[in-house]
Amino acid sequence: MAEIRVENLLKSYKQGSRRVEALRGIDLVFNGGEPVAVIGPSGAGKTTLIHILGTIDRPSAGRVLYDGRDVFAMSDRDLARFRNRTVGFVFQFHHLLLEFTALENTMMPALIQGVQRREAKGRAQEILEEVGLGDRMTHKPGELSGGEQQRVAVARSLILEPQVLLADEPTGNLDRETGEGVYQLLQQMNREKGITLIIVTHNEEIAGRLPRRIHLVDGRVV
Amino acid sequence: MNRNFFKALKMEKIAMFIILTLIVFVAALAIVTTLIMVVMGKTRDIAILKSMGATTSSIMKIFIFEGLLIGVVGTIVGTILGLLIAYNLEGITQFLEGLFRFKFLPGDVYYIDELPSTVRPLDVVLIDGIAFLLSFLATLYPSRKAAGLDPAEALRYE
Ligand SMILES: Nc1ncnc2c1ncn2[C@@H]1O[C@H](COP(=O)(O)OP(=O)(O)OP(=O)(O)O)[C@@H](O)[C@H]1O
Ligand SMILES: [Mg+2]
Repeated sequence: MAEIRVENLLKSYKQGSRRVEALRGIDLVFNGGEPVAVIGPSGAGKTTLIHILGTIDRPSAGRVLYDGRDVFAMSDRDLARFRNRTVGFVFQFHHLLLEFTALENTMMPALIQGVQRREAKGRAQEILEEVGLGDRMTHKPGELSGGEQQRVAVARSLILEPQVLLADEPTGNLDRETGEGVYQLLQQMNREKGITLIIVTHNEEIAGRLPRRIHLVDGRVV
Repeated sequence: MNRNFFKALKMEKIAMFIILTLIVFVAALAIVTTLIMVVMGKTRDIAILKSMGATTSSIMKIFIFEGLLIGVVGTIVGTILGLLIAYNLEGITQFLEGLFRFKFLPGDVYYIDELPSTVRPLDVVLIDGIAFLLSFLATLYPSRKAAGLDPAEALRYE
């Protein structure tokens, strides 16, 4: 269970001659195992924050500490390894690999880590059963409904039992009921496995149910 | 007389070499552009793999592998076709000459009236080696580009 400490995080993008400030000095602590909602208007910097927390983007300034360890001080190779072991992503768009089946997609992080195929397959099957997709394993993303795609994405993000699960509007493209199912699943994983859950959402109802909400506006926490 | 003949032959060899070099160059470029297209089409997939912790070098390996596969298959097919043509050149020229009622090397103009051809094993090995090396070199730039892709940008949108 990782504690994530964010110190004075700045992120700016160059756009021609203009500079867009996506994050303007964020200081936060996420306690291990705590479910947190990140809310705020469009363009507030939520996705940018999630990407930096998950180390797929680098801040312009400031630090991100996982249990005291400055992650961006690591080499690229170590950072990739760290990401593989520690972080799970669920994006607004399922972002599954279209040429692979649900099972193969779920196995992918384990294969990247170098887990034996047999073992990865076994674990993926287990997790797909858990998210209620036991009978959809050999389907490709194109043959799955939006809710099923997103559940595969959740299964994929969980196969290596990450310490942190970052979900960026995971229910944004789903109808209320399906979205609720995916959300329940995320919360169940948080409760059962003690995974730190950080979930970006526009859904007031979902945000309201989480014990802690972080409100971003214009790159700042308010 | 004889000296002019050999001069002409030498010129021909140089011209041939230049043409072949250009062909090989174009073929290598074809691998480069094909791979760049593949990389562009796979932007999202590359970003997804990176978000799951795939290293830069493992992404590079994927595309180098794909490029080498193209190179190896191309070299093998090319060698087989080339050898088939070289060993049957006489028959092929006769067939073409018959087909188009035309002589490649009219006996009254040239000293020889057929295309001579020998297969030199060393040349075959050398050219295959070069073809393979070139296809490897052609993979490097696109693979590097693929591996250096910024995942955050690609994952922001559908
Ligand atoms: N590559 C980029 N170049 C320039 N500006 C960018 C780039 N990426 C993001 N931005 C800007 O950074 C700001 C924050 O974007 P971000 O995607 O983090 O917002 P968000 O809170 O996730 O919004 P939404 O709710 O619409 O998803 C926006 O103003 C956006 O235009
Ligand atoms: Mg966003």
